[in-house]
Amino acid sequence: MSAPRRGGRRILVTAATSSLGRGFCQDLYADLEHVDHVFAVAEQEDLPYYFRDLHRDRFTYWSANLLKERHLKDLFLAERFRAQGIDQIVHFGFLRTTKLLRVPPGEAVEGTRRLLEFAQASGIEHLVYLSGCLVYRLRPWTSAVLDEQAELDFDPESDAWIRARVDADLLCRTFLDQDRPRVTVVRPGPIIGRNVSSHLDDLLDGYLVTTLAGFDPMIRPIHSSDVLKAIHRCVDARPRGVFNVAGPDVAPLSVFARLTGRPTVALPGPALRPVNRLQRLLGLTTCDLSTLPNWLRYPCVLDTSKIEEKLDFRATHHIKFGES
Amino acid sequence: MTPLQRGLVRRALGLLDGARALERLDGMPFRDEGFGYDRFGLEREGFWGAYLGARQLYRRWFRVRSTGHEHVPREGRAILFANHSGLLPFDGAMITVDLLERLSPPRATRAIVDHFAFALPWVGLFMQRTGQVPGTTRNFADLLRQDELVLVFPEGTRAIVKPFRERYRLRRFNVGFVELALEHEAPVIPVSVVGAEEQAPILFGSKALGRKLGMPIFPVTPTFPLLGPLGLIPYPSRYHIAYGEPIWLHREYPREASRDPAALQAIAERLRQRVQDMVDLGLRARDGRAS
Repeated sequence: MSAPRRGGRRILVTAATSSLGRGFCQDLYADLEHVDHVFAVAEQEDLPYYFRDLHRDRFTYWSANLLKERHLKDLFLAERFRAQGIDQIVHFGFLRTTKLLRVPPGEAVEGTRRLLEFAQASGIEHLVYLSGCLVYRLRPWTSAVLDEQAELDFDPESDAWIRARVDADLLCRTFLDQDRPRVTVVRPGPIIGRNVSSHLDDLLDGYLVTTLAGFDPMIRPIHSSDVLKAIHRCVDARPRGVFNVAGPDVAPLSVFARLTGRPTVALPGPALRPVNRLQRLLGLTTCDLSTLPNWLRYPCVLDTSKIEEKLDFRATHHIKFGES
Repeated sequence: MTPLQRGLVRRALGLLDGARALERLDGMPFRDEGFGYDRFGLEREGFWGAYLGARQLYRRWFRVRSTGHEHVPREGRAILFANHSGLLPFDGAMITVDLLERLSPPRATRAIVDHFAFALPWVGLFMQRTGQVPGTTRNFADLLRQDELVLVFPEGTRAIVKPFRERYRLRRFNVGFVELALEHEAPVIPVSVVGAEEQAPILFGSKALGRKLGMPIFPVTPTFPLLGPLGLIPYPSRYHIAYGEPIWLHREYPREASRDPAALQAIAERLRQRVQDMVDLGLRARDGRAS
């Protein structure tokens, strides 16, 4: 391996053992020209096998649960962390839809708040927060295309996890007028990719894909590799603000369900929840449709013109199933 | 639809009636986002199917007569604004079919529709697939940016539920389309529809019952609810559609007028009066009185 050039970026990545976090750490590590050090943080105690080949001069793995204040303090006060002079953080905050349900939603928001405060106190220059399209409120009168100013889901009847995502997104936005850290909020459309576990990925990954009869909303998913490229672009450009990012394909939900090749059935509203609950009990799906009622009804096509204009970023990966 | 389903639908529609009609529509501009749909949910085959169905109504049921097509631009953004009536929006469908039949090349209109319809299962889906769009400022502006021909009924739903005794008396216009016409420098084209009021004469309506059912009012006509859903079938009154000369608002008013509520209201009232005059003229012509 060639010796790294000093003076490049030193980046901390949270949720580094998630599918996206792992891919992003490896992308950063491969960027010898611009990245000096990657500081991967995740809950898993042992160094994951896929990070074992990475050289310790340019890569650190740190086990911590960022929802615990003690762990966060230990991280930011650690000699290893301070010695690396970390200047950017990429926070994959709320990646999973169901597996995180072990944690109370409010605690996850609190974890994001503490991370922001520690980042500010430590003089971190830039923080990228990965939000998502679930923060937008979808209603019959929602526009066909949602820009970054679209209404967020403050509905008290929404699922607690949706509201937690909105809260965390808003927390990051409160830092938009701060000098340090500069905050970039990235809101991808529904992510599709191996082991990503987004709401759409979970839905399409079931043995039987169930949708709502009488509705077939237009959606604009994005492949996980494009999400990583978008975050990489944000890390490079360090913009301040909120950016939607979505893939090149716009089509109804049923089209993407059909592309999976799995049997698809549209059920009437009253039957959908019991069938979905039964599917989850039998382990046939991980998607909890009771948390996503409007997402199955109304369109969610993100307007990506802002990131195209300001960062010259366009997603290129078309959605195909049965490929890695 | 799968490609196989699409092929079958095309064959079926072609056999049904309109092989030649569909050939004409083949040249119609369509912004396919990659899977046979545009970003608003319009599906070409869905549009064709609805067109061929509505064409039967256009020719055999409502026996539409129309004038003034030369005023409708063949390309570029434009807003058609018309009087609204008749309980169910057949007037919008007939204007759409009329322009597909009479313009060369045919041009699809994108109707702006009240939100409540999109919350109804199947109804909202049908509207999306046939090119109708929920009425939001962003949707309207996006359509104009795409140089589409947009159809609006500025009276809103209060016009289609007015009692029969108030027929052909236009309600106050909403101002949103005026604002967008000024901002996007789009010509507005007045359209009058005579005949739709008689298709479903509303004797009276219940707002309270309507609210419970998610509708503006619950209407009572000579046949509804007496005959159940069959009572909603429109009476076969002949339609007379007239297109007026385009009005270029941005040439007459400064752009700042789009941010002045009083100015917008005054322009909307002027446009309402224009359509009212056209409707009165159409009524006189229909009833055989001198115009």
